[in-house]
Amino acid sequence: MPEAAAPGHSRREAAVIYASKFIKDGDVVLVGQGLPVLAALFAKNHHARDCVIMHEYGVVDLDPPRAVELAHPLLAETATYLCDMLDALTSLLSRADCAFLGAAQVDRYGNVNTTTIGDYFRPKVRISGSGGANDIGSIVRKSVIIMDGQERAKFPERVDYNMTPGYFRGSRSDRDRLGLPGKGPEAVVTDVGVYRFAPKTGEMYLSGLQPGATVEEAREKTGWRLKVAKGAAGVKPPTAEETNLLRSLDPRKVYLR
Amino acid sequence: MISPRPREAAKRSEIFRSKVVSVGEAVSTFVKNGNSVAFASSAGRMSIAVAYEIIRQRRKNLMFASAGTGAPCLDLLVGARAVTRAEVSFTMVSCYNIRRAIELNGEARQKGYSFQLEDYSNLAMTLRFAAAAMDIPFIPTRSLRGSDIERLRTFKGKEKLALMKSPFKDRSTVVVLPPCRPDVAVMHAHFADAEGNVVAYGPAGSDGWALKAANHRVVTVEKVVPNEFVRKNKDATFLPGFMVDAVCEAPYGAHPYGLFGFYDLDEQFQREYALQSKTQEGFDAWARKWVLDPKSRDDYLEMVGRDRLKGISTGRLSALA
Repeated sequence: MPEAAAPGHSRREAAVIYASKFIKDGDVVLVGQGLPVLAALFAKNHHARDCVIMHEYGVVDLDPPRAVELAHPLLAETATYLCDMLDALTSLLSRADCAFLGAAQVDRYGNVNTTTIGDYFRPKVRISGSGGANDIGSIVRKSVIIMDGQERAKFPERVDYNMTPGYFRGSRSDRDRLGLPGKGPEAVVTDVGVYRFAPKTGEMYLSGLQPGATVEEAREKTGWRLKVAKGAAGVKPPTAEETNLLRSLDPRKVYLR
Repeated sequence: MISPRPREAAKRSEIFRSKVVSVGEAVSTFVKNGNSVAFASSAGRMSIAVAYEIIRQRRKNLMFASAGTGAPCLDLLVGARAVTRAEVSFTMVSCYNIRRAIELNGEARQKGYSFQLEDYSNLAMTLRFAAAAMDIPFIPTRSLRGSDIERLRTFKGKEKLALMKSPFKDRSTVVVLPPCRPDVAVMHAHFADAEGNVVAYGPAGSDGWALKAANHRVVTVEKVVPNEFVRKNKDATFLPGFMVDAVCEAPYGAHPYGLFGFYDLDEQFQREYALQSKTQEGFDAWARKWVLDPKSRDDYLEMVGRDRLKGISTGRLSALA
Protein backbone atom coordinates (compact mmCIF):
# COMPACT_ATOMS: atom_id res chain seq x y z
CA MET A 1 0.00 0.00 0.00
CA PRO A 2 1.45 3.41 -0.92
CA GLU A 3 2.29 5.40 2.18
CA ALA A 4 2.03 8.94 0.84
CA ALA A 5 2.24 10.48 4.27
CA ALA A 6 3.04 14.12 4.72
CA PRO A 7 6.39 14.55 6.43
CA GLY A 8 6.33 14.09 10.15
CA HIS A 9 3.34 11.77 10.59
CA SER A 10 1.96 8.56 9.15
CA ARG A 11 -1.56 8.32 7.78
CA ARG A 12 -2.54 6.10 10.66
CA GLU A 13 -1.44 8.78 13.09
CA ALA A 14 -3.34 11.42 11.11
CA ALA A 15 -6.49 9.25 11.16
CA VAL A 16 -6.31 8.67 14.91
CA ILE A 17 -5.79 12.35 15.63
CA TYR A 18 -8.60 13.40 13.28
CA ALA A 19 -11.00 10.87 14.79
CA SER A 20 -10.18 12.03 18.31
CA LYS A 21 -11.70 15.44 17.49
CA PHE A 22 -15.16 13.86 17.49
CA ILE A 23 -14.80 13.68 21.28
CA LYS A 24 -15.69 17.01 22.91
CA ASP A 25 -14.65 18.01 26.39
CA GLY A 26 -17.06 16.55 28.91
CA ASP A 27 -18.34 13.81 26.59
CA VAL A 28 -19.02 10.35 27.93
CA VAL A 29 -17.53 7.90 25.44
CA LEU A 30 -17.78 4.13 25.20
CA VAL A 31 -14.58 2.94 23.56
CA GLY A 32 -14.05 -0.33 21.69
CA GLN A 33 -10.95 -2.36 20.83
CA GLY A 34 -8.05 -1.25 18.68
CA LEU A 35 -7.33 2.26 17.40
CA PRO A 36 -10.39 3.73 19.18
CA VAL A 37 -8.49 3.20 22.45
CA LEU A 38 -5.66 5.43 21.25
CA ALA A 39 -7.98 8.05 19.72
CA ALA A 40 -9.86 8.41 23.01
CA LEU A 41 -6.66 8.57 25.02
CA PHE A 42 -5.37 11.30 22.70
CA ALA A 43 -8.58 13.31 23.14
CA LYS A 44 -8.31 13.03 26.90
CA ASN A 45 -4.74 14.27 26.88
CA HIS A 46 -5.29 16.97 24.29
CA HIS A 47 -8.61 18.79 23.87
CA ALA A 48 -11.04 16.87 26.07
CA ARG A 49 -9.41 16.56 29.47
CA ASP A 50 -12.78 16.06 31.16
CA CYS A 51 -14.22 13.43 28.83
CA VAL A 52 -15.19 10.19 30.51
CA ILE A 53 -13.78 7.12 28.78
CA MET A 54 -15.36 3.78 29.55
CA HIS A 55 -14.94 0.17 28.44
CA GLU A 56 -17.77 -2.30 28.25
CA TYR A 57 -16.39 -4.77 30.80
CA GLY A 58 -16.97 -2.31 33.61
CA VAL A 59 -14.22 0.31 33.69
CA VAL A 60 -15.40 3.92 33.83
CA ASP A 61 -13.48 7.21 33.68
CA LEU A 62 -10.10 5.69 33.06
CA ASP A 63 -7.02 7.86 32.62
CA PRO A 64 -3.96 5.70 31.93
CA PRO A 65 -0.54 7.29 31.46
CA ARG A 66 0.06 5.26 28.28
CA ALA A 67 -1.87 3.12 25.81
CA VAL A 68 -2.30 -0.54 26.75
CA GLU A 69 -4.48 -3.42 25.54
CA LEU A 70 -8.18 -3.18 26.30
CA ALA A 71 -8.17 -5.75 29.11
CA HIS A 72 -4.95 -4.58 30.76
CA PRO A 73 -5.34 -4.31 34.58
CA LEU A 74 -3.68 -0.87 34.46
CA LEU A 75 -6.85 0.67 32.99
CA ALA A 76 -9.00 -0.28 35.95
CA GLU A 77 -6.33 1.01 38.33
CA THR A 78 -6.88 4.53 36.98
CA ALA A 79 -10.71 4.45 36.90
CA THR A 80 -13.16 6.22 39.19
CA TYR A 81 -15.94 3.65 38.86
CA LEU A 82 -15.93 -0.08 38.33
CA CYS A 83 -19.08 -2.02 37.47
CA ASP A 84 -20.21 -5.05 35.53
CA MET A 85 -20.99 -5.54 31.88
CA LEU A 86 -24.74 -5.50 32.34
CA ASP A 87 -24.51 -2.04 33.85
CA ALA A 88 -21.96 -0.76 31.32
CA LEU A 89 -23.87 -1.97 28.26
CA THR A 90 -27.33 -0.84 29.38
CA SER A 91 -27.76 1.98 31.89
CA LEU A 92 -24.39 3.66 31.31
CA LEU A 93 -24.31 3.09 27.55
CA SER A 94 -27.72 4.66 27.01
CA ARG A 95 -26.45 7.83 28.71
CA ALA A 96 -23.16 8.04 26.80
CA ASP A 97 -22.70 10.80 24.21
CA CYS A 98 -21.01 8.59 21.66
CA ALA A 99 -19.03 5.43 21.01
CA PHE A 100 -15.81 4.78 19.15
CA LEU A 101 -15.66 1.46 17.33
CA GLY A 102 -13.22 -0.37 15.09
CA ALA A 103 -14.22 -2.42 12.04
CA ALA A 104 -12.77 -5.06 9.74
CA GLN A 105 -15.44 -4.27 7.12
CA VAL A 106 -17.84 -1.37 6.82
CA ASP A 107 -20.23 -1.11 3.88
CA ARG A 108 -22.02 1.52 1.83
CA TYR A 109 -24.68 1.99 4.49
CA GLY A 110 -22.47 1.87 7.55
CA ASN A 111 -23.13 -1.74 8.50
CA VAL A 112 -20.12 -3.19 10.30
CA ASN A 113 -18.62 -6.65 10.22
CA THR A 114 -15.88 -8.00 12.44
CA THR A 115 -17.18 -11.58 12.60
CA THR A 116 -16.40 -13.63 9.48
CA ILE A 117 -15.16 -13.03 5.95
CA GLY A 118 -16.91 -15.10 3.28
CA ASP A 119 -19.95 -17.30 3.87
CA TYR A 120 -20.85 -17.29 7.57
CA PHE A 121 -21.33 -21.05 7.70
CA ARG A 122 -18.10 -21.80 5.83
CA PRO A 123 -16.01 -18.72 6.57
CA LYS A 124 -12.78 -17.96 4.77
CA VAL A 125 -11.63 -16.10 7.86
CA ARG A 126 -12.98 -15.98 11.37
CA ILE A 127 -12.17 -12.58 12.83
CA SER A 128 -13.50 -11.93 16.32
CA GLY A 129 -17.26 -11.66 16.57
CA SER A 130 -19.25 -8.90 18.17
CA GLY A 131 -17.92 -8.57 21.67
CA GLY A 132 -19.98 -5.57 22.72
CA ALA A 133 -19.96 -3.95 19.28
CA ASN A 134 -23.49 -4.93 18.31
CA ASP A 135 -24.83 -3.76 21.66
CA ILE A 136 -22.99 -0.47 21.45
CA GLY A 137 -23.95 0.17 17.82
CA SER A 138 -27.58 -0.68 18.57
CA ILE A 139 -27.96 1.39 21.72
CA VAL A 140 -25.52 4.31 21.84
CA ARG A 141 -26.70 7.75 20.70
CA LYS A 142 -24.15 7.93 17.88
CA SER A 143 -20.95 6.20 16.92
CA VAL A 144 -17.72 6.95 15.09
CA ILE A 145 -15.98 4.11 13.27
CA ILE A 146 -12.21 4.06 12.88
CA MET A 147 -10.69 1.78 10.26
CA ASP A 148 -7.04 1.22 9.68
CA GLY A 149 -5.75 0.45 6.17
CA GLN A 150 -8.78 1.14 4.01
CA GLU A 151 -8.98 -1.15 0.98
CA ARG A 152 -11.72 -2.28 -1.41
CA ALA A 153 -12.40 -5.59 0.39
CA LYS A 154 -12.86 -3.75 3.69
CA PHE A 155 -15.19 -1.16 2.12
CA PRO A 156 -17.63 -3.43 0.23
CA GLU A 157 -21.05 -2.64 -1.20
CA ARG A 158 -22.43 -5.00 1.43
CA VAL A 159 -20.74 -6.57 4.45
CA ASP A 160 -20.34 -10.35 4.46
CA TYR A 161 -22.06 -10.51 7.86
CA ASN A 162 -24.11 -7.69 9.31
CA MET A 163 -22.75 -7.85 12.82
CA THR A 164 -23.58 -4.27 13.80
CA PRO A 165 -26.32 -2.64 11.72
CA GLY A 166 -25.84 0.87 10.41
CA TYR A 167 -28.50 1.94 7.94
CA PHE A 168 -29.23 -1.58 6.58
CA ARG A 169 -29.87 -1.49 2.79
CA GLY A 170 -30.16 2.28 2.55
CA SER A 171 -32.73 3.62 4.98
CA ARG A 172 -32.13 5.53 8.18
CA SER A 173 -35.75 5.02 9.23
CA ASP A 174 -35.21 1.23 9.38
CA ARG A 175 -33.50 1.79 12.70
CA ASP A 176 -36.63 3.35 14.20
CA ARG A 177 -38.89 0.76 12.62
CA LEU A 178 -36.87 -2.03 14.21
CA GLY A 179 -36.68 -0.28 17.56
CA LEU A 180 -32.94 0.35 17.70
CA PRO A 181 -32.48 3.11 20.28
CA GLY A 182 -29.28 4.61 18.80
CA LYS A 183 -29.18 6.88 15.78
CA GLY A 184 -26.39 4.96 14.03
CA PRO A 185 -22.90 5.83 12.81
CA GLU A 186 -22.03 9.49 12.39
CA ALA A 187 -18.72 9.12 10.56
CA VAL A 188 -16.08 6.67 9.40
CA VAL A 189 -12.46 7.75 9.66
CA THR A 190 -9.80 5.81 7.76
CA ASP A 191 -6.19 6.37 6.74
CA VAL A 192 -7.57 7.59 3.39
CA GLY A 193 -10.55 9.75 4.18
CA VAL A 194 -13.34 10.93 6.40
CA TYR A 195 -16.78 9.69 5.45
CA ARG A 196 -20.24 10.71 6.53
CA PHE A 197 -23.75 9.43 5.87
CA ALA A 198 -26.51 10.93 3.70
CA PRO A 199 -29.55 12.23 5.65
CA LYS A 200 -32.28 9.88 4.33
CA THR A 201 -30.61 6.84 2.82
CA GLY A 202 -27.66 6.72 5.17
CA GLU A 203 -25.36 6.20 2.20
CA MET A 204 -21.72 6.79 3.00
CA TYR A 205 -19.98 9.58 1.11
CA LEU A 206 -16.53 11.11 1.15
CA SER A 207 -16.46 14.33 3.13
CA GLY A 208 -12.71 14.88 3.54
CA LEU A 209 -9.32 13.45 2.63
CA GLN A 210 -6.45 12.56 4.90
CA PRO A 211 -3.24 14.47 4.15
CA GLY A 212 -1.66 13.04 1.00
CA ALA A 213 -4.74 11.09 -0.14
CA THR A 214 -6.75 11.78 -3.32
CA VAL A 215 -10.36 11.28 -4.41
CA GLU A 216 -9.11 8.73 -6.97
CA GLU A 217 -7.43 6.73 -4.22
CA ALA A 218 -10.56 6.83 -2.08
CA ARG A 219 -12.66 5.59 -5.04
CA GLU A 220 -10.15 2.87 -5.82
CA LYS A 221 -10.33 1.62 -2.24
CA THR A 222 -14.14 1.63 -2.11
CA GLY A 223 -16.36 -1.22 -3.36
CA TRP A 224 -19.23 0.93 -4.69
CA ARG A 225 -19.55 4.14 -6.72
CA LEU A 226 -18.48 6.49 -4.00
CA LYS A 227 -20.17 9.88 -3.89
CA VAL A 228 -18.02 12.85 -2.98
CA ALA A 229 -19.25 15.89 -1.07
CA LYS A 230 -19.01 19.23 -2.85
CA GLY A 231 -15.78 20.83 -1.83
CA ALA A 232 -14.39 17.70 -0.16
CA ALA A 233 -10.78 18.60 0.33
CA GLY A 234 -7.87 17.63 2.48
CA VAL A 235 -8.61 17.77 6.19
CA LYS A 236 -6.30 19.74 8.43
CA PRO A 237 -3.18 17.66 8.97
CA PRO A 238 -2.02 17.09 12.53
CA THR A 239 0.50 19.53 13.91
CA ALA A 240 3.94 18.38 15.00
CA GLU A 241 2.87 18.98 18.59
CA GLU A 242 -0.16 16.69 18.13
CA THR A 243 1.88 13.96 16.47
CA ASN A 244 4.47 14.07 19.22
CA LEU A 245 1.81 13.87 21.90
CA LEU A 246 0.21 10.88 20.17
CA ARG A 247 3.54 9.05 19.98
CA SER A 248 4.30 9.78 23.61
CA LEU A 249 0.99 8.14 24.56
CA ASP A 250 1.93 4.88 22.85
CA PRO A 251 5.61 4.49 23.69
CA ARG A 252 5.47 0.70 23.45
CA LYS A 253 3.73 0.87 20.07
CA VAL A 254 0.73 -1.19 21.07
CA TYR A 255 -1.33 0.63 18.43
CA LEU A 256 1.20 2.56 16.35
CA ARG A 257 2.99 -0.51 15.10
CA MET B 1 -18.50 -1.27 68.18
CA ILE B 2 -19.65 -4.82 67.90
CA SER B 3 -16.85 -7.15 66.98
CA PRO B 4 -17.77 -10.31 65.12
CA ARG B 5 -17.53 -13.54 67.01
CA PRO B 6 -14.29 -15.16 65.93
CA ARG B 7 -15.25 -18.29 64.00
CA GLU B 8 -12.08 -20.17 64.66
CA ALA B 9 -12.60 -19.80 68.40
CA ALA B 10 -16.23 -20.88 68.28
CA LYS B 11 -16.98 -24.55 67.86
CA ARG B 12 -17.71 -25.20 64.21
CA SER B 13 -21.07 -26.64 63.32
CA GLU B 14 -21.09 -30.36 62.56
CA ILE B 15 -21.95 -29.77 58.92
CA PHE B 16 -19.01 -27.47 58.23
CA ARG B 17 -16.86 -28.91 55.49
CA SER B 18 -13.95 -27.07 53.96
CA LYS B 19 -14.45 -26.44 50.27
CA VAL B 20 -10.74 -26.19 49.61
CA VAL B 21 -9.64 -28.85 47.14
CA SER B 22 -6.94 -29.16 44.51
CA VAL B 23 -7.66 -27.94 40.98
CA GLY B 24 -7.42 -31.58 39.90
CA GLU B 25 -10.10 -32.68 42.36
CA ALA B 26 -12.36 -29.76 41.47
CA VAL B 27 -12.25 -30.60 37.77
CA SER B 28 -12.71 -34.33 38.27
CA THR B 29 -15.71 -33.68 40.53
CA PHE B 30 -17.44 -30.83 38.71
CA VAL B 31 -16.45 -30.99 35.04
CA LYS B 32 -17.72 -34.17 33.41
CA ASN B 33 -17.61 -35.14 29.76
CA GLY B 34 -20.54 -33.54 27.96
CA ASN B 35 -21.01 -30.77 30.55
CA SER B 36 -21.56 -27.14 29.74
CA VAL B 37 -18.85 -24.94 31.24
CA ALA B 38 -18.91 -21.16 31.61
CA PHE B 39 -15.68 -19.25 32.03
CA ALA B 40 -15.90 -15.95 33.82
CA SER B 41 -13.39 -13.94 31.93
CA SER B 42 -14.58 -10.67 30.66
CA ALA B 43 -12.63 -8.62 33.16
CA GLY B 44 -9.48 -10.73 33.26
CA ARG B 45 -10.46 -13.25 35.91
CA MET B 46 -9.84 -16.18 33.64
CA SER B 47 -9.01 -19.41 35.40
CA ILE B 48 -6.36 -20.59 32.99
CA ALA B 49 -5.38 -23.06 35.72
CA VAL B 50 -8.74 -24.83 35.31
CA ALA B 51 -8.52 -24.75 31.51
CA TYR B 52 -5.13 -26.48 31.73
CA GLU B 53 -6.55 -29.06 34.14
CA ILE B 54 -9.49 -29.83 31.83
CA ILE B 55 -6.93 -30.56 29.11
CA ARG B 56 -4.88 -32.73 31.49
CA GLN B 57 -7.96 -34.75 32.43
CA ARG B 58 -8.78 -35.11 28.71
CA ARG B 59 -12.37 -34.00 28.94
CA LYS B 60 -14.42 -34.35 25.77
CA ASN B 61 -17.60 -33.03 24.24
CA LEU B 62 -17.88 -29.97 26.47
CA MET B 63 -20.17 -27.03 25.72
CA PHE B 64 -18.42 -23.72 26.36
CA ALA B 65 -20.15 -20.46 27.27
CA SER B 66 -18.82 -17.01 28.02
CA ALA B 67 -19.56 -13.33 27.61
CA GLY B 68 -16.57 -11.25 26.69
CA THR B 69 -13.02 -12.33 26.25
CA GLY B 70 -13.29 -15.95 27.31
CA ALA B 71 -11.63 -16.60 23.98
CA PRO B 72 -8.20 -17.62 25.34
CA CYS B 73 -9.79 -20.37 27.46
CA LEU B 74 -11.91 -21.50 24.53
CA ASP B 75 -8.87 -21.52 22.27
CA LEU B 76 -6.97 -23.79 24.67
CA LEU B 77 -9.92 -26.18 24.93
CA VAL B 78 -10.56 -26.24 21.17
CA GLY B 79 -6.86 -26.89 20.56
CA ALA B 80 -7.15 -29.90 22.88
CA ARG B 81 -10.44 -30.89 21.22
CA ALA B 82 -12.21 -30.85 24.56
CA VAL B 83 -15.01 -28.54 23.38
CA THR B 84 -17.43 -29.31 20.56
CA ARG B 85 -19.87 -26.42 20.92
CA ALA B 86 -19.56 -22.84 22.09
CA GLU B 87 -22.04 -20.06 22.79
CA VAL B 88 -19.91 -16.96 22.93
CA SER B 89 -19.70 -13.32 21.94
CA PHE B 90 -16.04 -12.97 21.14
CA THR B 91 -13.07 -14.83 19.75
CA MET B 92 -9.78 -13.20 18.80
CA VAL B 93 -7.78 -13.01 15.61
CA SER B 94 -4.90 -14.61 17.50
CA CYS B 95 -7.06 -17.61 18.52
CA TYR B 96 -5.69 -19.91 15.83
CA ASN B 97 -7.15 -23.11 17.27
CA ILE B 98 -10.67 -21.67 17.03
CA ARG B 99 -9.98 -20.35 13.56
CA ARG B 100 -8.65 -23.70 12.32
CA ALA B 101 -11.77 -25.37 13.66
CA ILE B 102 -14.27 -23.15 11.86
CA GLU B 103 -12.56 -21.70 8.80
CA LEU B 104 -13.32 -23.22 5.42
CA ASN B 105 -9.86 -24.65 4.89
CA GLY B 106 -9.16 -25.37 8.54
CA GLU B 107 -7.30 -28.62 9.02
CA ALA B 108 -9.41 -29.46 12.06
CA ARG B 109 -12.51 -29.53 9.88
CA GLN B 110 -10.83 -31.84 7.45
CA LYS B 111 -9.63 -34.20 10.16
CA GLY B 112 -13.09 -34.83 11.50
CA TYR B 113 -13.09 -32.73 14.65
CA SER B 114 -16.48 -31.12 14.83
CA PHE B 115 -16.70 -27.74 16.49
CA GLN B 116 -19.62 -25.35 16.18
CA LEU B 117 -19.92 -21.83 17.43
CA GLU B 118 -23.06 -19.77 18.02
CA ASP B 119 -22.47 -16.02 17.92
CA TYR B 120 -24.07 -13.75 20.50
CA SER B 121 -23.04 -10.31 21.75
CA ASN B 122 -21.49 -9.45 25.12
CA LEU B 123 -24.75 -8.03 26.41
CA ALA B 124 -26.77 -10.94 25.05
CA MET B 125 -24.62 -13.55 26.81
CA THR B 126 -24.61 -11.52 30.03
CA LEU B 127 -28.40 -11.24 29.89
CA ARG B 128 -28.70 -14.98 29.24
CA PHE B 129 -26.64 -15.68 32.36
CA ALA B 130 -28.74 -13.17 34.30
CA ALA B 131 -31.96 -14.87 33.15
CA ALA B 132 -30.64 -18.22 34.40
CA ALA B 133 -29.49 -16.64 37.66
CA MET B 134 -32.97 -15.18 38.22
CA ASP B 135 -34.64 -18.34 36.96
CA ILE B 136 -36.85 -16.58 34.42
CA PRO B 137 -37.70 -18.27 31.10
CA PHE B 138 -36.43 -15.53 28.79
CA ILE B 139 -35.13 -11.98 28.86
CA PRO B 140 -35.69 -9.08 26.41
CA THR B 141 -33.12 -6.73 24.91
CA ARG B 142 -33.04 -3.87 22.43
CA SER B 143 -29.73 -5.17 21.17
CA LEU B 144 -29.20 -7.55 18.20
CA ARG B 145 -32.31 -6.37 16.33
CA GLY B 146 -32.00 -6.54 12.54
CA SER B 147 -28.47 -7.96 12.64
CA ASP B 148 -27.12 -11.23 11.26
CA ILE B 149 -26.61 -12.31 14.87
CA GLU B 150 -30.42 -12.28 15.03
CA ARG B 151 -30.92 -13.82 11.57
CA LEU B 152 -28.28 -16.56 11.25
CA ARG B 153 -28.06 -19.53 13.58
CA THR B 154 -25.77 -22.55 13.73
CA PHE B 155 -26.57 -25.36 16.17
CA LYS B 156 -29.10 -23.56 18.36
CA GLY B 157 -31.61 -22.97 15.59
CA LYS B 158 -34.90 -21.68 17.02
CA GLU B 159 -33.46 -21.85 20.53
CA LYS B 160 -30.96 -19.08 19.80
CA LEU B 161 -33.38 -16.18 20.25
CA ALA B 162 -36.80 -14.98 19.17
CA LEU B 163 -38.79 -11.80 18.58
CA MET B 164 -41.60 -10.80 20.87
CA LYS B 165 -44.07 -7.96 21.03
CA SER B 166 -44.29 -6.22 24.36
CA PRO B 167 -47.63 -7.06 26.06
CA PHE B 168 -47.63 -3.55 27.57
CA LYS B 169 -48.75 -0.33 26.05
CA ASP B 170 -45.64 0.53 24.03
CA ARG B 171 -46.14 -2.69 21.97
CA SER B 172 -42.63 -2.58 20.60
CA THR B 173 -41.01 -5.72 19.24
CA VAL B 174 -37.86 -6.82 21.01
CA VAL B 175 -35.40 -9.68 20.84
CA VAL B 176 -35.89 -12.21 23.63
CA LEU B 177 -33.10 -14.51 24.73
CA PRO B 178 -33.19 -17.91 26.43
CA PRO B 179 -31.36 -18.39 29.74
CA CYS B 180 -27.88 -19.90 29.69
CA ARG B 181 -27.50 -22.23 32.65
CA PRO B 182 -24.11 -23.95 32.60
CA ASP B 183 -23.46 -27.13 34.56
CA VAL B 184 -20.44 -25.43 36.05
CA ALA B 185 -18.94 -21.93 36.04
CA VAL B 186 -15.28 -21.25 36.67
CA MET B 187 -13.55 -18.08 37.80
CA HIS B 188 -10.15 -17.02 39.03
CA ALA B 189 -10.24 -14.49 41.88
CA HIS B 190 -8.04 -12.90 44.49
CA PHE B 191 -9.00 -14.56 47.78
CA ALA B 192 -11.49 -17.02 49.26
CA ASP B 193 -11.95 -18.67 52.60
CA ALA B 194 -12.62 -22.34 53.27
CA GLU B 195 -16.37 -21.68 53.33
CA GLY B 196 -16.21 -20.44 49.75
CA ASN B 197 -16.66 -16.72 50.35
CA VAL B 198 -14.93 -15.16 47.37
CA VAL B 199 -13.18 -11.80 47.67
CA ALA B 200 -12.56 -10.22 44.29
CA TYR B 201 -11.55 -6.78 43.10
CA GLY B 202 -11.70 -4.91 39.84
CA PRO B 203 -14.23 -4.57 37.02
CA ALA B 204 -16.79 -7.37 37.11
CA GLY B 205 -17.54 -8.01 33.44
CA SER B 206 -20.20 -10.71 33.30
CA ASP B 207 -18.45 -12.82 35.91
CA GLY B 208 -21.04 -12.55 38.67
CA TRP B 209 -23.90 -13.44 36.35
CA ALA B 210 -22.06 -16.41 34.84
CA LEU B 211 -21.34 -17.79 38.31
CA LYS B 212 -24.86 -17.18 39.62
CA ALA B 213 -26.31 -18.83 36.51
CA ALA B 214 -24.46 -22.10 36.92
CA ASN B 215 -25.44 -25.22 38.83
CA HIS B 216 -21.96 -25.50 40.33
CA ARG B 217 -19.11 -23.02 40.80
CA VAL B 218 -15.41 -23.63 40.98
CA VAL B 219 -13.28 -20.67 42.02
CA THR B 220 -9.50 -20.69 41.88
CA VAL B 221 -7.78 -18.02 43.95
CA GLU B 222 -4.38 -16.52 44.50
CA LYS B 223 -4.62 -17.26 48.19
CA VAL B 224 -6.93 -19.06 50.60
CA VAL B 225 -7.55 -16.73 53.54
CA PRO B 226 -9.07 -17.14 57.01
CA ASN B 227 -12.73 -16.29 57.54
CA GLU B 228 -11.71 -13.17 59.54
CA PHE B 229 -10.11 -11.71 56.44
CA VAL B 230 -13.43 -11.94 54.59
CA ARG B 231 -15.32 -10.36 57.49
CA LYS B 232 -12.90 -7.47 57.47
CA ASN B 233 -13.04 -7.04 53.70
CA LYS B 234 -16.70 -7.85 53.12
CA ASP B 235 -17.16 -4.80 50.88
CA ALA B 236 -15.21 -6.80 48.33
CA THR B 237 -16.97 -10.15 48.81
CA PHE B 238 -18.02 -11.10 45.31
CA LEU B 239 -19.94 -14.28 46.03
CA PRO B 240 -21.26 -15.70 49.30
CA GLY B 241 -19.79 -18.99 50.41
CA PHE B 242 -23.02 -20.92 50.12
CA MET B 243 -22.98 -20.36 46.38
CA VAL B 244 -19.52 -21.83 45.85
CA ASP B 245 -18.76 -25.53 45.52
CA ALA B 246 -14.98 -25.63 45.36
CA VAL B 247 -12.12 -23.29 46.22
CA CYS B 248 -8.66 -24.07 44.85
CA GLU B 249 -5.47 -22.23 45.63
CA ALA B 250 -3.70 -21.54 42.33
CA PRO B 251 -1.16 -18.71 42.48
CA TYR B 252 -0.91 -16.88 39.14
CA GLY B 253 -3.94 -18.90 38.11
CA ALA B 254 -4.79 -16.42 35.34
CA HIS B 255 -1.29 -16.46 33.84
CA PRO B 256 -0.53 -15.46 31.06
CA TYR B 257 -3.50 -13.13 31.54
CA GLY B 258 -3.65 -10.51 34.23
CA LEU B 259 -5.39 -10.16 37.57
CA PHE B 260 -6.37 -6.68 38.78
CA GLY B 261 -4.06 -5.49 41.54
CA PHE B 262 -1.88 -8.62 41.40
CA TYR B 263 -0.14 -9.01 38.06
CA ASP B 264 -0.19 -7.78 34.48
CA LEU B 265 -0.37 -9.74 31.26
CA ASP B 266 2.63 -11.85 30.28
CA GLU B 267 2.79 -10.55 26.73
CA GLN B 268 5.83 -12.56 25.72
CA PHE B 269 4.14 -15.80 26.78
CA GLN B 270 0.99 -14.84 24.89
CA ARG B 271 2.95 -14.11 21.72
CA GLU B 272 4.76 -17.44 21.90
CA TYR B 273 1.46 -19.26 22.40
CA ALA B 274 -0.12 -17.54 19.39
CA LEU B 275 2.88 -18.31 17.22
CA GLN B 276 2.96 -21.98 18.22
CA SER B 277 -0.77 -22.54 17.91
CA LYS B 278 -0.82 -21.52 14.25
CA THR B 279 -0.66 -25.25 13.49
CA GLN B 280 -2.19 -28.20 15.37
CA GLU B 281 1.26 -29.80 15.66
CA GLY B 282 2.59 -26.58 17.12
CA PHE B 283 -0.25 -26.38 19.63
CA ASP B 284 0.15 -30.06 20.59
CA ALA B 285 3.83 -29.48 21.29
CA TRP B 286 3.01 -26.34 23.28
CA ALA B 287 0.38 -28.20 25.32
CA ARG B 288 2.77 -31.05 26.01
CA LYS B 289 5.40 -28.66 27.30
CA TRP B 290 3.23 -26.26 29.32
CA VAL B 291 0.14 -28.31 30.28
CA LEU B 292 0.75 -32.06 30.19
CA ASP B 293 4.40 -32.37 31.26
CA PRO B 294 4.57 -30.06 34.31
CA LYS B 295 3.99 -32.18 37.40
CA SER B 296 2.39 -29.43 39.42
CA ARG B 297 1.38 -25.80 39.43
CA ASP B 298 4.72 -24.99 41.10
CA ASP B 299 6.52 -26.86 38.37
CA TYR B 300 4.74 -24.71 35.76
CA LEU B 301 5.56 -21.48 37.58
CA GLU B 302 9.22 -22.54 37.85
CA MET B 303 9.26 -23.11 34.10
CA VAL B 304 7.76 -19.68 33.45
CA GLY B 305 10.43 -18.31 35.74
CA ARG B 306 10.12 -16.64 39.13
CA ASP B 307 11.92 -13.53 37.91
CA ARG B 308 9.55 -13.17 34.99
CA LEU B 309 6.56 -13.51 37.30
CA LYS B 310 8.04 -10.93 39.62
CA GLY B 311 8.45 -8.67 36.60
CA ILE B 312 4.71 -8.69 35.85
CA SER B 313 3.58 -8.49 39.48
CA THR B 314 2.01 -5.24 40.61
CA GLY B 315 1.50 -6.27 44.19
CA ARG B 316 -0.98 -3.63 45.35
CA LEU B 317 -3.67 -6.10 46.44
CA SER B 318 -1.47 -9.14 47.02
CA ALA B 319 -0.13 -7.33 50.10
CA LEU B 320 -3.61 -7.46 51.70
CA ALA B 321 -3.32 -11.06 52.88
